[in-house]
Amino acid sequence: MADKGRKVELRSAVMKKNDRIAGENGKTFEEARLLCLNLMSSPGAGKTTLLERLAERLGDSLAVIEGDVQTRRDAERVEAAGSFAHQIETGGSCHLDAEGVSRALEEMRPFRDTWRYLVIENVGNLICPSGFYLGEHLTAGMLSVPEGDDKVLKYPGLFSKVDLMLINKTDLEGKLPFDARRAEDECRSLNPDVTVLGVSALEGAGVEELVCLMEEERRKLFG
Amino acid sequence: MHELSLSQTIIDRIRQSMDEGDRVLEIAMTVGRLSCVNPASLEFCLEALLEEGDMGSPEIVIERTPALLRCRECGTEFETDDMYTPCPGCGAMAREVLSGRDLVVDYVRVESPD
Repeated sequence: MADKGRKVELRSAVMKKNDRIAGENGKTFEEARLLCLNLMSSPGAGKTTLLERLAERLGDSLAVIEGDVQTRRDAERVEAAGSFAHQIETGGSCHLDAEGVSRALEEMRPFRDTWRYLVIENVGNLICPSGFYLGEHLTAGMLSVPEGDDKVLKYPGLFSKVDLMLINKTDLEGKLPFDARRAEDECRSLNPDVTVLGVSALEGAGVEELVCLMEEERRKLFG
Repeated sequence: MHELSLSQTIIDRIRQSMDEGDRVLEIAMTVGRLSCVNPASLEFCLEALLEEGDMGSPEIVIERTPALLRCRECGTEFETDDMYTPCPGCGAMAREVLSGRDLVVDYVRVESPD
């Protein structure tokens, strides 16, 4: 094989292209003074329900990019709750990438002056989304009580790198065998600096703490 | 599975570097241990897409490389195949990933028509 044909060096790093575009997205967020949070979890953990609570609380200071394989269902839920939402339908891809977010940002222009926070609800998947930087300031991984407290070490790619671990559906803790301390300890074993927050998106518990966290992070960035 | 969309990206990149009518004899890639890429799936998807195209049936060579991490506590740099390995210097788990998350198309070997 080595003596046939000619060798063309490419050294083309696929993720580097994604990261370059993500960097451009980051500049867009800076210019618009938007704190961007990338929210990831398995399907059904409660990301959209949490966003409904955030929309009720933050109103037109919140913009949301929704990522799903198909349908506008999640964007419609956020809009009904009181915030702007743009839906990306990936048509099959199991994660959002920087290019998809870049296109979404262009379609969302002109940005509203009222926007302070941008939450990207990633496609429901505990594996692939964590490998694609979108340009965000913060990443959050959500684990819900019914999923079990043993999932963190099963999905280290995600839980080793998130800034924030959200344990959702805390309203079910007494009814299901879930050890929140175990989930938190296992996350810290991979990710010592992680912030862990228990929430019940359905009942609203923990939402105010999350908003305070987002406000504080935005203040650190933009004053 | 995203190995399919990655394969399309790889084929598009290769096509940019070829002359029209060239056949591809070999594709050499490096897959980092911390990338979300399964080499067997990648090879499968590449072969499937290449079968439908006009670039030929190249040999696909995939090398897996370990990740290189730097401990945030003591600065030790070390290689690893997973995210569970503590720092060999101080045992800490806080680290930054210096390399190992990417998929790199290193080179292709092409042949022009006679």
